[in-house]
Amino acid sequence: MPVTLTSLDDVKFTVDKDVAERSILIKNMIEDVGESDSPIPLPNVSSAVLKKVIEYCEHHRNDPVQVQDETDDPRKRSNDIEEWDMKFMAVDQEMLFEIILAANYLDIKPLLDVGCKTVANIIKGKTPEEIRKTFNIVNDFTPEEEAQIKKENEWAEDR
Amino acid sequence: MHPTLVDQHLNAELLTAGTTHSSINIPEISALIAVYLSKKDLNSCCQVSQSWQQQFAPLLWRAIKVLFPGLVLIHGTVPADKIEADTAIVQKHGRHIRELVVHVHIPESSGANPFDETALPLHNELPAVLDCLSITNLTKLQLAVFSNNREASQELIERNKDTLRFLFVGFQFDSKNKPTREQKRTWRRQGNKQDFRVHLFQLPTLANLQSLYLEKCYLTKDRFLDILRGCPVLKELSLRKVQLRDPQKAAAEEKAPEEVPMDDLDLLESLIAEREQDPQYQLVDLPLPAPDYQHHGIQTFRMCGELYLVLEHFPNLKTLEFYRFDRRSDTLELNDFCAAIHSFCPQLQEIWAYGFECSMLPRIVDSTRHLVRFRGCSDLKTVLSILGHTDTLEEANLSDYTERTFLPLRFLESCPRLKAYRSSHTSTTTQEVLASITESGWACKDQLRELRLSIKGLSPAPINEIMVALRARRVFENSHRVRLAAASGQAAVPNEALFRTGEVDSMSFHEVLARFLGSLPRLEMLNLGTGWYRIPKSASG
Repeated sequence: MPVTLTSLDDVKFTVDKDVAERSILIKNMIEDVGESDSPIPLPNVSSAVLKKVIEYCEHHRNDPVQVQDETDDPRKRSNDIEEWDMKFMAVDQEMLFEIILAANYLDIKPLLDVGCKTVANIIKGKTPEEIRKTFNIVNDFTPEEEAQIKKENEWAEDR
Repeated sequence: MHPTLVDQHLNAELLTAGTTHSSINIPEISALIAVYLSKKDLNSCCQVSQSWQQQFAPLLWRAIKVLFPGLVLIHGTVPADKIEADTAIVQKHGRHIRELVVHVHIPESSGANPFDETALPLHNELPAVLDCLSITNLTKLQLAVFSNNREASQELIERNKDTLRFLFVGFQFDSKNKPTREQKRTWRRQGNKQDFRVHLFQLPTLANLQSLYLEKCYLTKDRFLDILRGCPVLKELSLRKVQLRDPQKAAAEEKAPEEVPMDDLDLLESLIAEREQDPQYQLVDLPLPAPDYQHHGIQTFRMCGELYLVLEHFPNLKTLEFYRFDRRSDTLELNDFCAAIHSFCPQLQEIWAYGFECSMLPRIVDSTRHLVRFRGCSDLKTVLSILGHTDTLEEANLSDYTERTFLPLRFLESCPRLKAYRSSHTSTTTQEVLASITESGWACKDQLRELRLSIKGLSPAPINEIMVALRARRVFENSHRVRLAAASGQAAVPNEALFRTGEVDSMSFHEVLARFLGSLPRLEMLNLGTGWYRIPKSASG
């Protein structure tokens, strides 16, 4: 049975149920409400972002349900992004962060993970100044504050 | 549409549109990004701006290791001297620390007696982190410290008693400085009767503790049970070089530190050995009386190097782990241990025996009512004992720490629920495999998901042909577990590629084996000696 989703800007998307249910939020909504023809409103997601998210869910519709990684290793690898996902994530920063927000809101764990890995890969190896440039952030520290943080975190410098 | 539900979702995420990097300002998202970053990267993030500092400082300080003094620095390690330089910094960020490892270590050159506290230059130099009053949110704490840190350790645990989920307390003893026999004699003469272990301090009630590891300490059995009472949700317990003393004996020892010369100890050992030979000491399993107190939460009990006779207190035990059992235990102890398994642990289903002196294993395996998973060492006798559980066995991993695995085909032929089987080197020949798959058949064929089987004389070239025929792709260890776990949740694939024995004569061995393996409906992971391969679902359909 197809499901209709309505975006923030009132655009309707009709997708297969198994595609829509990649989102745990939508899955739970369907389960709570039962089979219904009325569209599901997603008031936090714009049509541009929702289109991308549906593209992801369609590509990954047959993926096995993600199981919790048993390993206790707190540090995870970010260099294992699949090729298709890598291309999918090759978008401008605004879209990247919008996708992350939407994945968080819609509860699509694998998409959230791949989005966070992409952001982590952008940050990796950069100096504070390079990060500011990349994300267009203004340095609002006083020189004293900056020196203090440097001193406090000195131990982390070479790790 | 349910109106309240929609409202709920609306209110849950009022998004702050506008700034492009807004999602980094949501704590749960910055935390997800941070797991992929090194301490150095997190440090850079902290220096970007005020708001990034707020997001990333807790993530930078979340997990801290303090190794003393100057061990090889590993990821995330704070060298003690740098931390010492400004304890105010630790004090300032202490509330962010959720996971803390403090590990002290005797310098190799010192040769100090760890019981002579004045000889240790540690009193004032130990990481201030132990005394840091702002550390009150720990979920995970590992303390490997000296006896003179007992008080500070106890207070640190007390400050974090409501949040701790994992606790390791051990009293560190550098193996390179292990006392010589001569030193031991001297210390014994001086009345040092602690077996070089440290008296464990009182632990507070730890309402959320799930895992408790104790090492190199001693306490009375009553105190030990008190600790368990104070940890109601404990699931996992591990003991290594912990001495559980009965109160009378401990009291007597503390009052009169009687000297026991080595010669007497040697004599005692020979008496025990003699007694072991005597058949009248070979106890049979008797119904034992239940103890006054039982902990119903503990599912995993891990023992290192020696058997602990406490199983009667763990009625819901599922997993027994053994590490570094390189010597036989006393036969009477083993008898008691096995009797306790049989009488008090009806749910025991997993035995992991790593580095195990195999002669004790058959008894332990035989005492288990329903063995489901076995991992670890095995000799032929152990294998026969494991095969006493053919009806329940789902996993047998005999590949670790074992030079040779016995009767691999017997497992595959006789265990209908077997999902995973791993052997190491076997003397199993291609003829035996051929007979097994064409004549005996595999009882596990509809269940088997993971197979590691080495076949004598099967070289990499034909193995490669088998993998090509199965369209299997090489996988690497890291992703293996994840994929296997993912695979185990998948639905069955109907078995249509039926194996026809009539065609065997005209095919070479590897073709026969490939065809057979291709007919196993759930087989996902395969290793025939050249690494792990993943078989696509369609190959068997």
